[in-house]
Amino acid sequence: MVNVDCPLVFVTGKGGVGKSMWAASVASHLASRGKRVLLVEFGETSFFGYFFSQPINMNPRQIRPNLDVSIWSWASCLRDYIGHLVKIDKLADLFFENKVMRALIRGAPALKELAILGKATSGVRHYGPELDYDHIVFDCYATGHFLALMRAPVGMYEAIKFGPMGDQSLAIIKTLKDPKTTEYHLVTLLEELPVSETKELHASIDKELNSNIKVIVNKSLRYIRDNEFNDSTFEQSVCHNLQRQNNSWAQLQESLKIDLEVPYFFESDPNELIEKISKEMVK
Amino acid sequence: MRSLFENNKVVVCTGSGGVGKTTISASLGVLAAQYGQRVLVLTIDPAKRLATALGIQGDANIVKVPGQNFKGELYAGRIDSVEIFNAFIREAAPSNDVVEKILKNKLYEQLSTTLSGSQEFTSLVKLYEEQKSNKYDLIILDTPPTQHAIDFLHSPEKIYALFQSSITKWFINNTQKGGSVWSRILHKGTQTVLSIFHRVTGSDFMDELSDFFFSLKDLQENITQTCQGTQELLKDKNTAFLLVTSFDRAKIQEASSYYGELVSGGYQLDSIIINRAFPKWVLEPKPEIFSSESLEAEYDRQNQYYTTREEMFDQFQKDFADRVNVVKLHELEEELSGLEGLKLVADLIETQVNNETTGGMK
Repeated sequence: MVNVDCPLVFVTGKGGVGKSMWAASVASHLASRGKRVLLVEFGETSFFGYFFSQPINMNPRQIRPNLDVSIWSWASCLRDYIGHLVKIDKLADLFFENKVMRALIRGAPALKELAILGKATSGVRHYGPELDYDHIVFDCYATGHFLALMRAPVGMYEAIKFGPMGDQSLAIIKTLKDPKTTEYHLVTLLEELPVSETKELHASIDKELNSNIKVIVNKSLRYIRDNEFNDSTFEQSVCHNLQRQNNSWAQLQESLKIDLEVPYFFESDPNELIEKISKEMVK
Repeated sequence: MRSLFENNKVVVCTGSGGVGKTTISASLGVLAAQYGQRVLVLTIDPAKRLATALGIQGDANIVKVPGQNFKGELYAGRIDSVEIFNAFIREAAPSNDVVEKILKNKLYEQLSTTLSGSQEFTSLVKLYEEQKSNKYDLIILDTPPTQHAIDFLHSPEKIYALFQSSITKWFINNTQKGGSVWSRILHKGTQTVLSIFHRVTGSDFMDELSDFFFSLKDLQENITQTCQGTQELLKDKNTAFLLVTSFDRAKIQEASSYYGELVSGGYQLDSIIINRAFPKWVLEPKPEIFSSESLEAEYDRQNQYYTTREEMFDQFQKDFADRVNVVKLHELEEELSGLEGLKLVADLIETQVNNETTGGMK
């Protein structure tokens, strides 16, 4: 059973391990329990758009009861924030449509990351535009980009201690470090590279953010209980993959507590797959 | 594959993270060297095992890959983003004072964060430099892991935005700090805009930022030139793009839109390589004997799944058949290690390319 205790859930892991699928499943699971949930992806091109076959943009779109999806770019986050601060839409537009100002913001280091994390934490901090949800699940970037994003407020605070930037950075850092408000989900496959990356990532999050970290193993074949295999290519392949996964499992378990093992469902329909993974969460 | 290498001087391997892009890039390098070319593979952050195979586990210099016995020659280099960016600034800056000033600026450190696109920029700088050196018949560039394949192409714009003359102009002839710089901008009639920015960020930040942009102004010309040079190189008729992707509905759809963006941007997409698309046993008929009922059930379940995916692939290949080559690679079960491991992947790529009846590598 995986308990989601926090209003903010950041999902990360190595590229290609099934982060988006897990994030969607967590969101769906929470929504089915009557929580109002927002599933957020970052960037300009939507993955969930392909996934749910619906256009996804910055305005939350309801895809099932209690569950909204939205994509945040740094520009939309900043526009939101400026709009909230100046209250007058026309003024905010004037600011945002100013060409030089746009280029300046685009060029200014760490400002974009702060805009995203500022919005992500605004509900919890009661600061900035209201986001009326019980949980927000973030389908984050992969390992390296994720750490760079999370480190931006620290870097900014080290550079600028005072004034609004210093204050905001500090408040964001506090939220990300608070295990009562923010939890981190690390998704991994039972393969050599994802496992070693997960271990390192776990150590970094534990040290720099907080210890409320859940480790999810995806696409496990360890439900196969057979011990004897014949010479067919298929059974040899199963045997080989099982062996490899068992080795990776042992390596992972050596240093980390594994919170959930999701079996490989061999399911090509996205909605069915989300249903199946969500059910695993309550087992 | 031979003609892809012979008709191009640069092959850019793009794709989102975790699809095996680095391995494919290195294996293509092996293949080109086997054909007799002098080839350089530039990679970013390779896994330890791959770095060892290429002999680039240490510093970021370009090395001749050890233990090779090819008709041609295989070279490899690791792209160290921070190092290249610093070196670029050292070279582009007019004096040591300027270099010191930039490197000491507190905001400069933050520039290395990935949203700024600095990793992509530095890999293009490296590619550009090596290409100009004319030392190789072919350079294969493994691009940094991005969330979406298309992110790579947009990154030079991000860096370029930093050096837009409109921003730096604000700071030229303003050597004094703080108020005076910003009040000069006030005269430009953007008071409202600026006061909002001030409200959001505060004086300390604005001072630091003005320092930052002011010190960058001397680099503007150089950066602009490099950005233009890399853009031209990417659109050159001797530069081909490959998209390496995994195999699921969303990724396949993403590939379609990526193709559109590349074409409208004036880039040439040569091939889409679908990596680890299916296990090898899918190619064989169903075994007659299973060790247990549960294993047979397992076979049926997985086979059903791969059959569904095969239908999806057929449709995809039909859509793309006359525009771009689509190559599908099955999973390799051997543990890939050393140069031998890369040769296995290279063999697989070559066999698959020769097998494709539609299209065929141009």
